[in-house]
Amino acid sequence: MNTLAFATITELKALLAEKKISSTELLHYFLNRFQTYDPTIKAALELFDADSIIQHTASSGSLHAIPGLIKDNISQKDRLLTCGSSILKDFRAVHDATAIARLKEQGAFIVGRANMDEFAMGSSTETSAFFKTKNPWDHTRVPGGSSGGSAAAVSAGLVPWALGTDTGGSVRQPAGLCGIVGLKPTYGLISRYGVVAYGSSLDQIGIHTRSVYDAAHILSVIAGHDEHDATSKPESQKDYTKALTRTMPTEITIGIIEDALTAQGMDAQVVEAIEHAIAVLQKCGARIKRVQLPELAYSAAAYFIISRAEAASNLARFDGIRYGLRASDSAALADLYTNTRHDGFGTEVKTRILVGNYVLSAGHAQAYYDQAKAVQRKIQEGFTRLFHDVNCIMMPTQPAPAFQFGAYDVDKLQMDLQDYFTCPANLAGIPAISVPCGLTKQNLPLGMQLYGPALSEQLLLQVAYTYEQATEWHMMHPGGFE
Amino acid sequence: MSTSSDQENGKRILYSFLAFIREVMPKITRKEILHIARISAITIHEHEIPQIMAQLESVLSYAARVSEVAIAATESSCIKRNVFRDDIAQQSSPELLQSIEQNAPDFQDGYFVVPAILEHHS
Repeated sequence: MNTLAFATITELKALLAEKKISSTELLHYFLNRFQTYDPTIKAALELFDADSIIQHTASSGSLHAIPGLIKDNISQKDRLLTCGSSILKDFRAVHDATAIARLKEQGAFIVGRANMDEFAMGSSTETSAFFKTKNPWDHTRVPGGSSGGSAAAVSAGLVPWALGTDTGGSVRQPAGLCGIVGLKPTYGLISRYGVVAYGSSLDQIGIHTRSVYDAAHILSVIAGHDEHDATSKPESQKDYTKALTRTMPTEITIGIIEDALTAQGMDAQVVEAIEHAIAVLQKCGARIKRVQLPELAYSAAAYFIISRAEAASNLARFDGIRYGLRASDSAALADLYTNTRHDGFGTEVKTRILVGNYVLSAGHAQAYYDQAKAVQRKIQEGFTRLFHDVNCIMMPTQPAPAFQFGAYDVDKLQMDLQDYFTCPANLAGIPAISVPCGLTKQNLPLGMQLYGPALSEQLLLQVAYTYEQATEWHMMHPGGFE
Repeated sequence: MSTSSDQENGKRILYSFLAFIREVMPKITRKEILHIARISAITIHEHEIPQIMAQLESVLSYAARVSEVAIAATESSCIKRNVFRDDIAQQSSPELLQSIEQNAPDFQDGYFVVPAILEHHS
């Protein structure tokens, strides 16, 4: 196995500090890996040239010269910002998102823009207007989504870290399907300033890495209050790597949601991997308690309604007037709006906007939107109740391993149900982390999730780190990327 | 992997659930689709209607299950407050104005150019 390609951030920093490799050599090394492997997996929408990467960042800092890829719905000043959509194919960001500004202050090398489902709407990266990204473990399968480009690049050893966004599971589900770590922090812990909105009350920047320690490292750089985001939590920046040890926090109880393991459509190999992970956690010193969360069965339905409603509202701004695509041959202003949106948005985006406006429209808002918000409160209450008894909760990341391209073309609802285990964290605004927990007989990765109360990232990282260090799943990499 | 019979069974349960919901839920009409398309400012061509109708029905049928538990939900207990910051006027840089111009589909003399808003009747 190529040790440099799959080195952790900590290992790369040590090599740089010992002057075993220069920052420029490291950058060219990873850019060359993209040249070699990305024509096959197609993780990046664009790779920047080396000079501009170096020019755009600080010359020192805790992430100096560590290359990363950014999902294309997070603003990078003067770079294209397409959101995987034709409607923004020529749009250039006018400022840096706060997370990007903080990464640049710490000298990170931002090498490009990652492919994604159009406007982050999807679970397979198949709805990108540009091309499909392949799962590095099996090129006939999807990498998951919507942050599929970010996850595929980290999994294939093209970069040690990447940013995605997670509205209903879009960081954790691709992390699970690609065999890497995916962290969705508490709502408001990382500023959303400069992130193109999908479901504003649910959206959160998330982190892809190949180790829990690296995720803690990136989080330490980008988390913390930002006055440009009114929903930003008043947390100061801190070092999340500091408390990471290989021992389980004392007196910790982890809840296992029984309903999750018996949920409809659960793959037997996922159940087996989760049961094995439970045994490992127990061996590491955690107490295990089987708990119930009946609200889980209603989360996806509430999520469908709330996310589509907010999407319909957020995407109203794409009208062909101030930026983005403008449909030609529109005689009157009203035609310009409707033709631009018809031509610029893909089918999935249009469907979600229509669903969103339906559930918000007079006569239906009470039956759908109001009810969904009530269910969201029940889900929040359910978690509060559970966190009286347990410190954190463990469940699968996804019901089954990566699926093949086009598997859900006919039955779209089944694709949407990929969010089943992930969207409750967004609805409750709480943090969750996905870590690799197994491989199927066909050599496809599986992930498990840890959920914690709001702002419990330190605890979740500690438990995840202890589990990771007791297993070898994070050291497994897809073949063919040596 | 789940076996194909597991998947088939799952699908059967799902479809019977959908059929049940469709019975208790009014079907989305063509007129409704066109109304929603109008308020969404999205042109829908005739040939696109059946597919959109099917997709909307599928997701809304599933979403309708929220009504099963929502009744028992309590009122929101979270305290909502406005978050303010000082509104400090900043001089926009020529660079920002330039990037706005460059991103605009049609821009002349500091204005966005749009087709006629009012129709002329003689």
